[in-house]
Amino acid sequence: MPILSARDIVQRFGHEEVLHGVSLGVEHGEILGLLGPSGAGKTTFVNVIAGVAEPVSGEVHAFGEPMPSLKLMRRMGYMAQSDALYTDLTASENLEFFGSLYGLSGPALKRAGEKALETAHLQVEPGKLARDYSGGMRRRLSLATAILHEPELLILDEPTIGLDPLHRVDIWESFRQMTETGKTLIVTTHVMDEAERCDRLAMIRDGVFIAIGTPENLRMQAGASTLEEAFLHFARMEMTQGGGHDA
Amino acid sequence: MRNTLAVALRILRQFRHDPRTLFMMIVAPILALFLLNVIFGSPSYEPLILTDGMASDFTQALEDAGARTGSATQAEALDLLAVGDADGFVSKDGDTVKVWVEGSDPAITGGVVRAVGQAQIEALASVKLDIKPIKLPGGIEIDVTKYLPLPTFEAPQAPEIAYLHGSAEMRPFDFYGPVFIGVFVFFFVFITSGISFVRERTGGTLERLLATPIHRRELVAGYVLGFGVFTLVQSAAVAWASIYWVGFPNFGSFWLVLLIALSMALVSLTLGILVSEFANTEFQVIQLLQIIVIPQILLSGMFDLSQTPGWMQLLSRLFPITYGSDAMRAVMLRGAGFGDIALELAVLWAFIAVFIVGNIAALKKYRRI
Ligand SMILES: Nc1ncnc2c1ncn2[C@@H]1O[C@H](COP(=O)(O)OP(=O)(O)OP(=O)(O)O)[C@@H](O)[C@H]1O
Ligand SMILES: [Mg+2]
Repeated sequence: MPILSARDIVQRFGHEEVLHGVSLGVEHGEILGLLGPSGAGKTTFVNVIAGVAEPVSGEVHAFGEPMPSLKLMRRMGYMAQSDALYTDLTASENLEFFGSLYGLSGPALKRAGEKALETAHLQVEPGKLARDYSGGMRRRLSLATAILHEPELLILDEPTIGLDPLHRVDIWESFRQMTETGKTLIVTTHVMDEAERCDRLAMIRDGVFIAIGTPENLRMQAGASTLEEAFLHFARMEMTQGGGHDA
Repeated sequence: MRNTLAVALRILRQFRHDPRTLFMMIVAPILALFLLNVIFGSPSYEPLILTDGMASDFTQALEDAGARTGSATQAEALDLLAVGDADGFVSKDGDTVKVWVEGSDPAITGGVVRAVGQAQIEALASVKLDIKPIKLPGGIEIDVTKYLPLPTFEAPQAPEIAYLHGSAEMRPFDFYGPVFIGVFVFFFVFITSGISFVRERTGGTLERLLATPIHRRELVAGYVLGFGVFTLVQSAAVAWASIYWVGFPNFGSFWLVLLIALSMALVSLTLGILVSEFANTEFQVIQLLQIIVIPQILLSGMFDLSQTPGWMQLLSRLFPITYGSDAMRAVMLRGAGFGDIALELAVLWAFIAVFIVGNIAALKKYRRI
């Protein structure tokens, strides 16, 4: 049974339909990548499965139960595409705040904060406001607030955007370690080399999943040597099928 | 409950790191009240009235009526009026007294007209009838005044005024002071809470928050509590400063004044958050402030509405500020007790309740639980 499943999700902003009835299952312990160009609907989709946006129609189940549910959200972590930090608070105050919303307090909260910062490869300076950190540091702080309560299912919207290559590698190493302790990750990206590191990939374009599979499989299916070519192949196929998503 | 406290604590910490906002929210309303008090508390303007060919009794009476006087020919006087160096000119045209004024400032015009009117009455009262006894042949004098019902002119004695409320020391502005206290608190809380919540939305932290296991009601309650603590401090500072430093008369209990100010602040806070739902930027909060708060302030009792059309009086009854202003006046000017303003307070708290429920419902847009 998938740890998370989304069925026929439709999302609309005003008259513009952004997700055209998409479905996806995420297996326990995998890193599932959502790969797609800017404006494809990645953020829209992860917001729906994270329970922070109401879809127009469709269902999301997490851990076998219907979302949104506060009980389930306790077991999930979410990192937004924007840093979503309180920039007028210090790094530790941000961690404390989000941690306390998951029922952490006292020494447990402190320990969790330290561990999360370690996983996110960030050293914080006491008393320094979040707005005074560099962009990449804020990104890692944002990641730390998302993993603080050791969620079983982690939804990360472009977690490495704005990070230098060294930190990028470190962070992906952390992701891999998390799956080894039984965590499941959903990561959006439009960077091909990151897509390569995922266990499975869901390629999304214009609000539909055009292909789902392991990176290797997708390349093979498309008869392509890179994921980029594979993406273009599936995108062309989708177009020649005449926008089948409208059904 | 824990989540509510966490949100409230976070808001207070944000304030702590932003001392300028803290400072502005407390000092700005007090500064505005102080300036208003100085302006309206200054002695009233003494108009300069020039005369030509008027009796000295009359010019004396003008001065008694609070005007400065001088003499000039009509041509000179009109030139001075035109450049604003004099405020009025009085001369006699046959039997009628003619008054020229510059006329662009109704307050000055009124001052001149009032002084002239008062002087005329006074000059009239000082006219002594001097009727000589009639001398008849044979040395008999008849004092006709004894037989004729002649009118007697006497300057009217100043009436004795008994005060049900207030006192002779009150200045006209003191009637408006109580309204301003509430209005300023309302205004500044609205801006801060509205902008703060818009930031929460546009900065992505609202979505981020809704990804945590927090109830929508806990989030709203946390906002009310966090800002509530802060508005309590603000209301107390503003109320204290207006009464004990700026010197607005207060015939009622300070604690009631504080309670009303706090209630108004909470209405403003919950309304500000609700309204920010309809704003996408901080700038739009200010725009909404212009259509939602400014009319309320204008109709709040700052101006007398008793002669305005019925719809306007009805409209003012839909606005929470009106009830706050009424209660504030009742307490500060008439020494009303809690029982006298219970209805107004109940209306304010009903507004707060409605806005809180509205806020919780508005968040459904993001997450239905
Ligand atoms: N709040 C909104 N109101 C209106 N349109 C929106 C809103 N959010 C997203 N959209 C539209 O939905 C589409 C998908 O946006 P989304 O943010 O999901 O893309 P994305 O795949 O995450 O892109 P990126 O890689 O740039 O983050 C875009 O065309 C965008 O304009
Ligand atoms: Mg996105």
